[in-house]
Amino acid sequence: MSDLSPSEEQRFREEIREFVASEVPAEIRLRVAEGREISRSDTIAWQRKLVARGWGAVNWPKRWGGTDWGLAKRFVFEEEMALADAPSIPPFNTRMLGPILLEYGTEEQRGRFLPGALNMDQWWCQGYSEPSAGSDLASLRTRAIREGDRYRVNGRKIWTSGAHHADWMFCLVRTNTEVKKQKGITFLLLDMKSEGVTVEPIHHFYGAHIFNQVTFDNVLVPVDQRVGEENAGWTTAKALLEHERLATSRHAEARRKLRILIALAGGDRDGDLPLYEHADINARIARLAVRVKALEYATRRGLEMLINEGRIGVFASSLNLQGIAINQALDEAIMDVAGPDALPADAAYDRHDRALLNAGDSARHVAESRYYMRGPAIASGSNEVQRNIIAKHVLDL
Amino acid sequence: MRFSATEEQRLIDDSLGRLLERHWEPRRDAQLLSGEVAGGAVWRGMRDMGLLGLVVPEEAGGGGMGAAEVAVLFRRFGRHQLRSPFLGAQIIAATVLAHSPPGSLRQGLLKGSAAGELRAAPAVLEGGTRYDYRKAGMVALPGDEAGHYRLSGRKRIVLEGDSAEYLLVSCRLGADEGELALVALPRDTAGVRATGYAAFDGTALATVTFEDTAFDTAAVVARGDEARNALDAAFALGALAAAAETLGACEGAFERTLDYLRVREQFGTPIARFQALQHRASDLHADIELLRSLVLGAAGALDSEAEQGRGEAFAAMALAVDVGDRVCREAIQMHGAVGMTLELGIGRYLLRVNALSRLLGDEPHNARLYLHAMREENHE
Repeated sequence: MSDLSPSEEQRFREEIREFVASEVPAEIRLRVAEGREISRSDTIAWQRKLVARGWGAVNWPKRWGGTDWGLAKRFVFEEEMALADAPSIPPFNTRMLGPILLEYGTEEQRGRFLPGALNMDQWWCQGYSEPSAGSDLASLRTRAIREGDRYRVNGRKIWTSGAHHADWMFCLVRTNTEVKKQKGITFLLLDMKSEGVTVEPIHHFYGAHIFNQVTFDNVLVPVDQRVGEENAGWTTAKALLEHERLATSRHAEARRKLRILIALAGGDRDGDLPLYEHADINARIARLAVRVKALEYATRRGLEMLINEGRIGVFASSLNLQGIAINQALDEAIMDVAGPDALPADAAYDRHDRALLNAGDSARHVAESRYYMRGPAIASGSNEVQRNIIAKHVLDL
Repeated sequence: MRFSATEEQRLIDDSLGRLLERHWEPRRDAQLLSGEVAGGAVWRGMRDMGLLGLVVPEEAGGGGMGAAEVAVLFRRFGRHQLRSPFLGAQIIAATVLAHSPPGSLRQGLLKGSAAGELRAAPAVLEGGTRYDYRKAGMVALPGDEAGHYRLSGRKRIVLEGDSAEYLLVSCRLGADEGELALVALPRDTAGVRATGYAAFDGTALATVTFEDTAFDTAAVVARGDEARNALDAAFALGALAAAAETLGACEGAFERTLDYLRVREQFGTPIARFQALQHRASDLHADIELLRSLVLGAAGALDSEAEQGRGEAFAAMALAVDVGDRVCREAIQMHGAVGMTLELGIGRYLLRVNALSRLLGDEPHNARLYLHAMREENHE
């Protein structure tokens, strides 16, 4: 089902694994395996190695530094990268902004922003959610008023991942309050160094700093940083390419976690037996292994739909629900199997030798990872919203 | 492409669907036992379409088709609540024979099976070892002459064992630790007694007792590693077929339930308007999608990489047991009181999926087989 023959695919996978093994320092690969944060500078350094190899934006056309690969080859690439413990690059630059500019941007905007997005000279963040516009995103209220060749922007964005790292933001703003809510939204590119932009951290309950609140106080944005027509921003934002929706299944991540779970369960003993040989733990792992295989096939089925029909449609909602549920169940099992090794906080590893804190040699920072996965069940359409979508669009209820 | 049906599969699916719509009415036919369906209009129709020999090699008069086609058939069976001896005779027994070394007995049994002239019943399971088809405790002791044996003991859960013409019996040759053998015996052989009974879903089962039953090496269709491999292949395909039938049952039960939610009114509104019910239905839909993906994926793996595919067939059955039970239970619950009735019959799906998991193994059993196969393959 690939545009590669089985032997070509095999060679390609080996090529990727070798590249990761030789180009990602062991210390960084370990951090990835442990589920720890990769710093801004390490992330950028990795992206630049990918760019140098020609793999910086595999979903872009060659002309802009992409690859012109077909869907199946891109799928293999992304899967193998994740399996090989390569640091994941935030999706905002190449997977979100890039395709939007390629489809809706002007040639001038592409020339101005694509090279920096590729090379990460600019780190982008996404300004969509607002305090009163979460699952109901279209009710967003951040106001942009046209003043000559600029927009004056006032309002507040929230849950903005990585805004504290970002140089630029692509965001949705309200430009018309008189029409149906989806019809008065505009898509803007905003320089985070503009006067009037304030970024404040929002910490996850377990301590991580991923989210932020971003306030705009009379921020001026030139009109030539508008993507698409005024009031057409909702269409632009929704056009996030279909194939991005495959990623919501997180199947490669699930396979990695299953590997970790099995390794951990073979190590520690509880009573006279290794954990793996306890019937309850063995049954739990077996049950999860079945689901990980099912998730892998479901994702490949989604890919086949994309290739055959050009879209996955509402199947993406099932993928999303199952991907999250299975990843959460894996994290919970890892935390249970890791037992006391799960206790040290992420920060403790910054200060102490890991051998002092954690006896399991491939144990990751399970507690944090587990809590992190509560997030995707809420973000970009909570589980409940996905269920509404299925009920309405598939089940006709 | 692995997940979308080929033109040929779609054709099989359509014609089988039409056949079942014409000749199979679950409400009317619910009093039939599975063994009694052989010889009826549905069975003859499948014979005429060449489906009875689906997995029989072409040189023996069969279709020589693979797991993907088996999945197509069994999804239909599940959806239409067909009861028949297909699983035991045309899948498990036929696959055992297809994987046995060439010989005139094998050839005759396969030809007869494909032509709908005779059926063989797999007599493999014994008491106390549950679903473990690999454990043969029954011993064939040496007879008076070389190459002759005498068999005593009991086989349980023999699918349609009281109506099949032949029994495919697993045993040890000569002694407790003797070589594993698969022996094909006519059911009317002296010293064979099949006691038939009905399972709770209408499957005809038998306990078969052997009392000093004589046979010679001509009756042995496979032995040693070949016998083990034939059983592995047969029960893996059986697990896939059961998973596909469970998937079909889920699809049938779920569609009927959605129809009901749309028309049933309470508190002045169709109950489909209630978000609590919508979300439960959406979760079931997502579960069925997951199962569909795994059944189709595992069928493809069985057809392209048989060894790896066997493990995945057990994975499919493990998920099917879990999803099938949940979907079919919820189908009853969402119908309310009428869901409990024989008249409506929505509960028959639950009976069937639960019976399948008693026949091919429950979730822990199948998941364990998969985990074991997966770790062997990864050399962990």
